Amino acid sequence: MTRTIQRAEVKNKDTARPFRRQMSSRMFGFLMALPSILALAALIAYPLGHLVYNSFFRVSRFSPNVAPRFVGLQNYVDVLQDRYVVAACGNTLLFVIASVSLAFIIGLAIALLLYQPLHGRILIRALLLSPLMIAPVVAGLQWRWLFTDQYGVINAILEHLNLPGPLWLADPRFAMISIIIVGTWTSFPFVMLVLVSGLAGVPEEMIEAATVDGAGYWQRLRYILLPLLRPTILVILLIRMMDAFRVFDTIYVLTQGGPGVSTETISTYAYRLAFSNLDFGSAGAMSIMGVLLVTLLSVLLIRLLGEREEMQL
Amino acid sequence: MKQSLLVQAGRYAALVIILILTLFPILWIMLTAFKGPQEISAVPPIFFIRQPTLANFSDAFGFNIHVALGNSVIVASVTTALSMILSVPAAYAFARYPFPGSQVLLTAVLMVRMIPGIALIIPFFRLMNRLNLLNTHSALIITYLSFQIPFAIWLMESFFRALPRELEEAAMMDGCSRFGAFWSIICPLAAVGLATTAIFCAIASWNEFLYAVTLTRTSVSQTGPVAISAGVTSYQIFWGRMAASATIYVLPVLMFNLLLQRFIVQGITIGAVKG
Amino acid sequence: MNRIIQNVRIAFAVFIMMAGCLGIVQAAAQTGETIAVAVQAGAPEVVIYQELSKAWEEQTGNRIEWVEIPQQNMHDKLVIEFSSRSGAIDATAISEPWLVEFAASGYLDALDDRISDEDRADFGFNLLTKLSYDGKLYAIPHYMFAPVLYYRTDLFEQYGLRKPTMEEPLTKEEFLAAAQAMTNGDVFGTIVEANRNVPPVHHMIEYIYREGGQIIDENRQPRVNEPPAVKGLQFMVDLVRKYKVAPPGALGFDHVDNHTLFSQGKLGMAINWPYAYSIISDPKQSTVSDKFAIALPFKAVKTTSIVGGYSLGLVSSSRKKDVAWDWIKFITSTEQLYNLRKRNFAPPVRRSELEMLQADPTLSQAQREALEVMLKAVENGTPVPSLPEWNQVSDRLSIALQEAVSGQKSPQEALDAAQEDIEKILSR
Repeated sequence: MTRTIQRAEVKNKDTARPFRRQMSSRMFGFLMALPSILALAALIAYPLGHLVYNSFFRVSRFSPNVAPRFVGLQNYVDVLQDRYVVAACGNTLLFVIASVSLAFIIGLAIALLLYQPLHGRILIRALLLSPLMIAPVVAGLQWRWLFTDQYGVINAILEHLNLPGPLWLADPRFAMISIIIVGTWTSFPFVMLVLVSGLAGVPEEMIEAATVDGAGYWQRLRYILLPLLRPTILVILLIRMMDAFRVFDTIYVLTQGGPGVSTETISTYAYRLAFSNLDFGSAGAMSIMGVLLVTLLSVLLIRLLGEREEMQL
Repeated sequence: MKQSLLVQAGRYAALVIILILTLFPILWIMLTAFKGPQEISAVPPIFFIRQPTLANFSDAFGFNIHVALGNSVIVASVTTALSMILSVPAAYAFARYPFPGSQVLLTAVLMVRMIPGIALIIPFFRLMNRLNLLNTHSALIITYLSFQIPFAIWLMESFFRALPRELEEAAMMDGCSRFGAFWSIICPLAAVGLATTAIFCAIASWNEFLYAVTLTRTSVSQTGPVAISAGVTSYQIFWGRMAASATIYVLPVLMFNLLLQRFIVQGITIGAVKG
Repeated sequence: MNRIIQNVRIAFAVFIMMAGCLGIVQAAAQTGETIAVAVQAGAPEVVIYQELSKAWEEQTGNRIEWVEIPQQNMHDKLVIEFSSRSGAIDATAISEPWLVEFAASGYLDALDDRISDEDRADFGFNLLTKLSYDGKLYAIPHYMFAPVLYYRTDLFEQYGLRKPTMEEPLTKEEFLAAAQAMTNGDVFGTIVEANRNVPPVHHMIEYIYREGGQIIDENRQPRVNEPPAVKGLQFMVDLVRKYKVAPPGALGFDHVDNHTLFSQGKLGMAINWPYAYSIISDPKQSTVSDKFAIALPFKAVKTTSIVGGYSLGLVSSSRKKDVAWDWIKFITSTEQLYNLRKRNFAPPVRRSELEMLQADPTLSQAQREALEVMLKAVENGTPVPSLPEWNQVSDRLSIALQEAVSGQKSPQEALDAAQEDIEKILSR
C-alpha cells in the first residue's frame, strides 16, 4: 500500500543524512524529555527513598526515645503471613478487574454511541463527565447516603418499583458490589473521553472504504476501529488499573474496608497499618508489595495488548 | 453516514438512560443543597422540595468555601500548567525520538504512578516540613506534580503516537526544525489530546483530598475537598452545608471543562479536514 | 495556544508575587504570640470556642490560629504532625480513646505541675484519673459524655410499657420486651450500630460491660472471649438477627444513622450519646421533638456506658507552651465552660460549673431532667481500657463485631479469634 512505500522512501532519506544529524535525533529526544525526568526525579527521590528505607525498620511505637530497629525483610515476611493481607490482595484484584472492565465497556459503548453526529452530542458528553468533577470524598459520602439501609434513596426508589433492595453496605457480598459500582461510576468518564478523542483521530476514509467494501457495523468495529485504537486502549487500561489499585477515599468513606474485611484493599489496609497500628514499617512494606503486584499486572497487560511497532496495513 | 430513524432513536434512548444513572447522585447533591434540615433527613427521602431554602449556601460561605475555592484555583492551575509544560515535550520525545534507555525511563515513570498515595504521605510531610513549605500552595503543587507528570506523559505519548509520522517528515523536508515541527504542526493537531490531558490534570488536582488534608493546616492553603469534609463531624453530618459547598465547588471545573470542550471540537474538525 | 501559555506564565508569576506579598503583610501585622490550636473542623463547639476565645485574645494580646481538621482524619493527621515533631501545633483537642496512645508516644506534656490544686479538685467524676497515664495527667477535659437511652414516650404509653426511672432503669428483659412490642412494619424497637468504625465498638463494649464482662484486665490480659462478653455480644447479634427488632442494615450504621432514624420517628428506643439530645429535641430537624425522653441504659447485671469525651492537651513539641497553657486554663475555666454548655447542651465537667447550671433559671424542666440523667450516666460510666494500643485493639474488635452481626461467625468464634489476635497485639 502507498503508506509503506512512503515510509520506506523516507527511511532511506534518513540514513542518507550525515552522521551528525542522526545523533542529534536521539539527543533531541533526550533534551525534550530531560526537564520532566529531572523534575520527577527531584520530587520523588526523597519520599520514595524514605519509604523504602523505612520498610526495613521497625518503629518502637510507644518508646519515643528509642530509635527504630533495623529488621531487614522481617516486615515483608510479616505482611506476607498476615491473613488480612491475603484478603486485601484478593479484594483489590477483584475490585480492579471488575471496575476497570466495567468502566471500559461502558466508556467504549458511550464513545461509540457518540461517535456519529448526533444532536446535542457535545452537551451530553460534557454532562457525562460530571462524575469526574465531584471530589471522590464527596462522591463517597453521597453514595453512602444513597446506599444506606432504611433511609437510603436507592432502596426507596426500588421499593416504589416493588423491587427488593439489598443491604448495599451491610451485606458483605453487596458491599463489594457497591464499591465496584462507585468505582465504575467515577472512572468511566475518563475512558469515554479518551476514547472519544481517540476515535476523533481515526481517518474517515478508512471507515468509508470499509463500508464500501461491504463491512457491517460490528466488522468495522472489530477489524478497523479497535485495532486502530489499540495503543489508546492500552494506555487507558493501564492508567485505570493503576488508579483502581490506588483507590482510597471512596472505599474509606463508604465502608472503611468492612463489613469485616470484605472490602479491605491494599490501600485501606496499608493505611490501617500506618495509623491504627502505628506500624509505618509494615505499611511501607505492604505498599511496596502492592506496587510490585501492579507492575506485574501491567507487564501482563502490555504483553497482551501492546505492540512492538506501528501497525501495518 | 445517515442512520435510520430507529437506530437514532435507539441511540438517544440508551444515552438518556445512561445520563439518568450517571447524573442521579449529582442531582441529588444539588437538590439537597436547597433543602432545609427537616427535608434532608426525611424518611422516606423527599424528591420534590416543599420549602426550598438558600440557607445552606450562606452557611457554606460562612464557612469560607470561597477561600478554599481560591486556593484550589491556584493549586490546580499552576499544577496543570507546569505538568503540561514539562510533560508534553517529554511525551513527544518518547513517542517520536526514542533514545537509549527511553523505554526503561518510560516504564519507571509509570511505576511512580503505581505507588499508593497513602504510602508517600508521611515522607512528603517530612520533606515539606524540612523545606518549611507546610500549609502553603507550593507544598500541594509540588506533591501533585509528582503524580501528574507520569500521567500526562503517558496519556500524551499515546496521542502523539497515534498521529502519522508523515506530517513531521513533510514539514522537515520543507525546512522546519524538529521543534518547529512539534510546535506548529503536531501540537495543533494533538489539541484534542492536549485538552483532554489538561482537563484530567486539573480535575485530579481539584479533587485531591489526602495530601490536601495532610499538608495543609489552615484556610490559608486548604483546598475545597478539605473544606467540604468539614461537614462530617463526630456528632452529625451537615449534609445541607456540604451539598451547597460541593455544588459551588463543582462550578469552576464545569466551566473549565466546557471551555476546553471547544478545543476538542476544533480538534475533531481539523482532523476531518486533514483526513 | 501560544497566547494561552503566555497568559498562564504571567498568571503564575502574578500569583507567586501576590502570595509573597500576602505573607509579608501577615508577618508584619503581629503583636504578641500566636499559638496554633488543633480542633475538629465544623464541630459546633469549635465555633463557640472561637467566639469565647476572642476575650482571651484581647486580654493577652495573643492570637490563636485554628487548625481545623476534618474529624475522620484528625487522629491520623495529629499522629503525622506530632511524630514529626513539627512544632506547628501548640494545643490540641483530643478524643478520649487517643489519649493514652498520644501520652505513651510522648506527644503530650504532663500537666501535673501546671494545674492548680483547687482546679484539680473541681473536676468531678474521676475525670482527671481517666485522662491520666502512668500516674501523670495529660489533658484537661472540657466535654464528657456517656450514652443514654432515648425512648419514645408516646409509644411507651401506647403499648403500656413501664417507663424507666433513675432508680429503676429498664431491665434487659423489659428492654427486649419493649423493643418487640414497638416493632411493627414501620418502626423498629431499637437499633444496633455495627459499622467498621470506633463508635460501634464502644457500644459493643457497653453490652459486654453490662453483663459484668471486661475487655482487658489489670494485667493487660484480654478477656474478650469469656462468658459475660460472649453473652453481651450475643444479645446485640440477637437484636438484629433473631428478634429482628433492629434494622437489618446494622453493619452500615453508626451514631449518625442512629440519631437520624430516631429523629425521623423510625425507632422506639435508641442508645446514643448526649449530643443527639439537641438534635432530637429541635423541631426543625426532628419529627419527635416533643415525644421522647432519656433514661439510663438497660440493666443486665448492671447498667453502665462508656465514658468518653474531648479534652485539651499541651503538645510536647510546641515552642510556646506557656502561652498555650494559659489559653487552655482560660477555656476550661468554670465561666467559659458554663458559656459553652449554655449554647451546646451537654453534661458539665466541673462541680462549680454544675452549680452554675443548676442555679440557671432559663433551663427548662425537661432539660434539667435530661441533665440529671446524663450526669448519672457519666457517674455510672466505665472508661475504655487504658492502653496505648487501644486503637489497634478496638480495630480488631470491630472485625469481631462485624463477623458476629453478619452471621459469618458465632459470637464465641468471633471473640475467640479476637482474643488470640489481641494477645498478640499486646505482647509485641
